Amino acid sequence: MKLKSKLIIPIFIIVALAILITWIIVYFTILTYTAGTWAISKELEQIANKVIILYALSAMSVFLPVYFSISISVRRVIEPLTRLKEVSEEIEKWNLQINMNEAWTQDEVGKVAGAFKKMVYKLRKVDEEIKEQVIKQTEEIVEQKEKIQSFNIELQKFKQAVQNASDYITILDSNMLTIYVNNSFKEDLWYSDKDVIGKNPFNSWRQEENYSRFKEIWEKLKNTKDPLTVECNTIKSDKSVFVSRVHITPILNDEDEIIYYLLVEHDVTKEKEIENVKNEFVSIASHELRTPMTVINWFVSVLLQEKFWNLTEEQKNYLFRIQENTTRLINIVNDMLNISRLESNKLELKSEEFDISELIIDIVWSFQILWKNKWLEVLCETFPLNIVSDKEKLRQVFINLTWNALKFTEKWSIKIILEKKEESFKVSIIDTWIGISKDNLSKLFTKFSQIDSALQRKVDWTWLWLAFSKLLIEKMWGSIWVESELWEWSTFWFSLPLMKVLNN
Amino acid sequence: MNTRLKILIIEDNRDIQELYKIFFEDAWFEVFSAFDWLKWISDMVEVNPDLVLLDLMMPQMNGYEVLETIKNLSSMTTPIIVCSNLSQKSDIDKAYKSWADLYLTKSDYEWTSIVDKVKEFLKEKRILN
Repeated sequence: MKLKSKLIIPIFIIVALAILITWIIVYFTILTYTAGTWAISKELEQIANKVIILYALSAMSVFLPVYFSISISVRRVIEPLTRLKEVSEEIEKWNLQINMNEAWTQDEVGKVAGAFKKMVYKLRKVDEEIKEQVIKQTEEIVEQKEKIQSFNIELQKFKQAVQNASDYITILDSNMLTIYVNNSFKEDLWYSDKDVIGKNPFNSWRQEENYSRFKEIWEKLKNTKDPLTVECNTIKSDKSVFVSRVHITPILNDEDEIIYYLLVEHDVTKEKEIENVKNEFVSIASHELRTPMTVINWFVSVLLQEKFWNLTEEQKNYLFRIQENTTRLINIVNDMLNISRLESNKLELKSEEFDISELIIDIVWSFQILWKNKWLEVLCETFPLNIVSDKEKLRQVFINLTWNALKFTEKWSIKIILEKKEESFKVSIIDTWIGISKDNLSKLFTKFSQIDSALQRKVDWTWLWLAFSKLLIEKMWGSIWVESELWEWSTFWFSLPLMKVLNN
Repeated sequence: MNTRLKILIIEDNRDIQELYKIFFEDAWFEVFSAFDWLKWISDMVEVNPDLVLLDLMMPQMNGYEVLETIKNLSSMTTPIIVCSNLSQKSDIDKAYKSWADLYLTKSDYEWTSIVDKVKEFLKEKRILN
């Protein structure tokens, strides 16, 4: 409607001007006609008035249809076009929320408007989708950014940890050339990055005498791709040497190829020294402790020889007791030495095939004086079963357990049961002694435990035997345990693999 | 048994030395004692024993060295029994590698069984009937 009001004024002015001009022409015509006298006859004046009225009327008749046709065309063409222009301007400003729901004509403009409407609608949809996507992507980006940030923090932490770890950390590439060493490596070994980066450690700061050994180690690493630990001599920049234990881990890519080697090592010179001192102590103890005990034992044996001299029963009794105690002392020293050897992996194990039931029965019979004296019953539930293990060590364990059971059981019976379970076997020794409390059960197999009850005084408990038996059985890939009901019974059992070739 | 077998005992511990003397004399051996290797060298020549009983831990000379020295004297076919308190397998292996004929661990045996073991060994070697 704005357009219409804009049009009306010029049209009106044009029409008014047309009437005025016509009126002036008519008057000039009359003036010419009257030859400038201005004496216009009433007749002429009437004609002129009529002409003017007629003219005005005809002008009106022309003007009105023109006006109406213009106004219609304005309404039907120009207005929608203007609207479309507005709309397109709005679209240009990316205001897609404009309302195009007004009634549109059915003509070409209407069709254009319809297409426009569709386009706006589609644009709106696309816009919404884009916005949604932008929001989603922004969220994702933020998330990623947070992840990267936290990853960076983690990485920083790890880097700090690696940089400042007290262990020496070296990273080698797949060609065994150094690409990284941490701070403690540089500080303790007095090397700078320049000295080590790009170099093969086994040509530079490892002792070369071992080079062939390292070649072997490296071949093994390449083939198995499993981490391994080696001990080697490491040379500092001042040429001093220390022993280090190096844990080498190959790092693989997705194709299972080695891309890096990670070396974590620490100085074990002190440990080695301690180990040597310990071994030396074992050796000295073995000689220095056992020699005097052997001397005592043997002298007592000489005294006990009746062919040399006559002794009273009392004297003999005392000598027997000395002998008994020194023998016990020797056994304890032996057990301690054995434990020490086991712990330092010095106790050698053998493998042989034998029938475990024979071993059991053999030992039970060797103890027969003991159980017959006590009027005990020993029940053996065994069957022939060939196994592969260290016979002597197993004999020792079984003697220890049977001895315990026989020594402490005062009444009734002892039961020994052999069981076979797929790839393993189990031997249980059940006694009817007074049992062991739960607290004491867990302590039983530790090296220097003692059972803290009044019973301790009554029984002669060689706890070391149990600790030693446990170490032995574990070394032979088995397990040993005890179950007990206080005041009722105890079951000591051990289980071992049927066929296990033992090597050291 | 008419003639006594001569046994040379190389042992630095006087108590054990004395005990060996008691045991082996009781078992009808003629016992010669050497506390160090210098004495032993002269004894080896003078006494010409049928058997040597040797301790491994000696102050001046390591038992292994003694063993090797005895065996390196080519004319010496005298059997050597090592009787030591060292019971680690590595020690035993080392002794056998140094040509010991028998290895006994002192604390593992009563003295009577040590004498028995020695006799058994001599019978095996046909030195003792």
